[in-house]
Amino acid sequence: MNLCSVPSPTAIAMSSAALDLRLAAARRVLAETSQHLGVVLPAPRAPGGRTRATVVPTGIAPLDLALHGGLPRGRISELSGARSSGRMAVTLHLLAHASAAGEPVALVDVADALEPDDLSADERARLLWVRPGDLHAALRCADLILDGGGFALVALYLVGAPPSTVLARGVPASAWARLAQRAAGANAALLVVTDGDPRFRPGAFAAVGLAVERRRARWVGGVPLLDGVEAELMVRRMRGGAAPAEGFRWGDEAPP
Amino acid sequence: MSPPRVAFVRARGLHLAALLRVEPELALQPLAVLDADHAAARGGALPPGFGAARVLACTAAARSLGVAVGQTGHHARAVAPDLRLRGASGELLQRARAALLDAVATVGARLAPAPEGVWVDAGELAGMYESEAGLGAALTEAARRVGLPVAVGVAGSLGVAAVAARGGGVTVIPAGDEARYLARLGLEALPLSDALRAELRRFGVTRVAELARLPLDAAGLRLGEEAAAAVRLARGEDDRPLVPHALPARFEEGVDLEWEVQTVEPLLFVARPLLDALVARLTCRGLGVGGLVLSLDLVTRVADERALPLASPTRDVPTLFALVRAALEKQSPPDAVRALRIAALPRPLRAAQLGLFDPPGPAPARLALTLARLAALVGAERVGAPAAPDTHRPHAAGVTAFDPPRTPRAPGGPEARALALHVYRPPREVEVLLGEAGLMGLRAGEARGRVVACSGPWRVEGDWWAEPYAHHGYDVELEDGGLYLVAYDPVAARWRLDGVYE
Repeated sequence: MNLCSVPSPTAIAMSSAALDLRLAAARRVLAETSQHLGVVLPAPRAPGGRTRATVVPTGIAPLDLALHGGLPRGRISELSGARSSGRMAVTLHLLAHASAAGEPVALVDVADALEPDDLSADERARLLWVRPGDLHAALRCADLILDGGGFALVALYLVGAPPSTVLARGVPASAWARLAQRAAGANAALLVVTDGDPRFRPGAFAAVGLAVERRRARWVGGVPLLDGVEAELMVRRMRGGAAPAEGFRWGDEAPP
Repeated sequence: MSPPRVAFVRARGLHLAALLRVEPELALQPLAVLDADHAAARGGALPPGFGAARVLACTAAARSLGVAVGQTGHHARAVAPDLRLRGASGELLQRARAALLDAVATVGARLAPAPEGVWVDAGELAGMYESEAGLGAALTEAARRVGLPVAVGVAGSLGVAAVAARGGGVTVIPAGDEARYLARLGLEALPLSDALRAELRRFGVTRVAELARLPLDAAGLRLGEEAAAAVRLARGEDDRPLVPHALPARFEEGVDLEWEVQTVEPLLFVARPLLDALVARLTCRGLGVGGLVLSLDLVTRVADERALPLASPTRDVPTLFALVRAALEKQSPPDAVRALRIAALPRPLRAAQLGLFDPPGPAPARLALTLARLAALVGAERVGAPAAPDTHRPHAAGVTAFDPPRTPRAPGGPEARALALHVYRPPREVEVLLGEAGLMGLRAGEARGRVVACSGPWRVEGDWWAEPYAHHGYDVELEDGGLYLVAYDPVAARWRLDGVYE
């Protein structure tokens, strides 16, 4: 392995987790070489606590693995899917898991769609729920929350957004650029949940694009009871890395 | 025991300063405040009572046009036709005095209000400032923060301190030097009634030193109790104690408009200085604004009062301004407005001791500001932690104050949610096709098709004693895979689409 070679642009663009893997491999080769040559190398510095967290774990093991730890902080991530695909369930799961470490999370719910009973009392206490009522106000709310800082994950739930007279043609690119800048300043992950309508998608501003696809509804019992939705969660886009080709099962009998 | 020391903070030109606090844009205009009932006259004929009323105070622009204190309204208007005239307002004076008390309270704790200013116990503050002149400078600076120019006098008694404060700036009279200081002054330096001043002049008394030489008993016997008190003051003898006074608990600012206003923009123009003044007062007291009460006096003599709650206390004026703007734009005044008043509900700002090992999170003050901004944008009832109200009424939701716990959650992360409901608020109208087997099909906008699976009804009924509700819910799956919650409401005898499972 040639350690002195100039890194390619692809390597520079790699995510920090991928770089860590490469660095660990390089250290291993260096250790073997030094052992072979009889040279004593200084011990690697222990990871310090002064670096800022770079991801918000999702709590879905295969997804965390694919995303190198979770949703990237300081970036926009997108989650899209069709009706009854599990968009709200996935969003609530991500919010609940992100808040478990003690950092609060926020949900900008433009359609006023949250059912509080879907969250536990502890999850509710850690969630800031904002119901703006229209798309323009929702973008401003997300901007204000990110500007305030201190939130690990801010979910901008645009599914079912009422028609906006101010933003009749959808969310302008300038708004996404501003939100991306705010998210970077706040070191927070901004998750935009859409129904796939290109007018409301962050597009190239999203560092991670997730999609959820419905497989089937799960009915149980003799008198059928609706028990859940089985879906497939896929990484459609991942800046600085290759998205896995296969999706992950969501809402299966066994928790992911 | 050291001799008592008292500082008197005297507001200079209180009538004018009280007006300029809430209408600072008038400072550069020719304006005079008259000794008349509060009213406004911008031009043209003078209102009743303004012609004979005397000028109490005027701006520098008015003075440059020839207006002077003591002139009548007619005289002042004759020398300056474009002069703006305002009647003295007791309400404005009262608010300015309250603001002065709040400002002085940032320096000293033992205060006593007076018509022209505030007495402060300077003895207890001796160790906190290098000199009494330094204390005077601190008091001047504190008053400046609430927009009031002041003069400060420091002496051994209440009366002498008040006389010293008439000199302007900061005047310190060393202990025991009171009589010598007063002896140099003319009689006009003492706060005497016009009648007593005239009597003394008739006796040939024009200097304080001459007044001090009058026999106390004889002066009291011939000229009354005021004369006896004046003689004692002239000798530097004033043994009145400083009786501490409680600070005002009401925080309100207001302005009477020159013309009736119907639109929102002019109201916002005058609202901003009111909010500035309110926040300046609350800052002096270490408090924040927990909510506002907006009061509009209409020409129909009806008060339009609106409560504007805030999700969290704040001192951020742009946020409060946005709240007022949202309230006025949401519902315009029903009639022309004559006066605007804003009262603030004082609340302590959120304080929290952050733990060294706690996870990172929003700083309490920053979080409060964010919540206040959000509340100003969308309404306080739409910002907070989600709450499930204590009712079985379907899809009831509310918010509580957002105060997230700083500690991590107990081990055992959240289980994967297989289902969550996207609630339609309000529920949508739906057409239902019923068959022998129950629900056969739905039609409601995009949600339409044949039902392939269904469970229910899940019956919920309640509040029969007040506002009854009934909800017979069905979980249905349509042929396109959509999962919906459809409900029949027997009270209203109609079907509705309550939400979609996501």
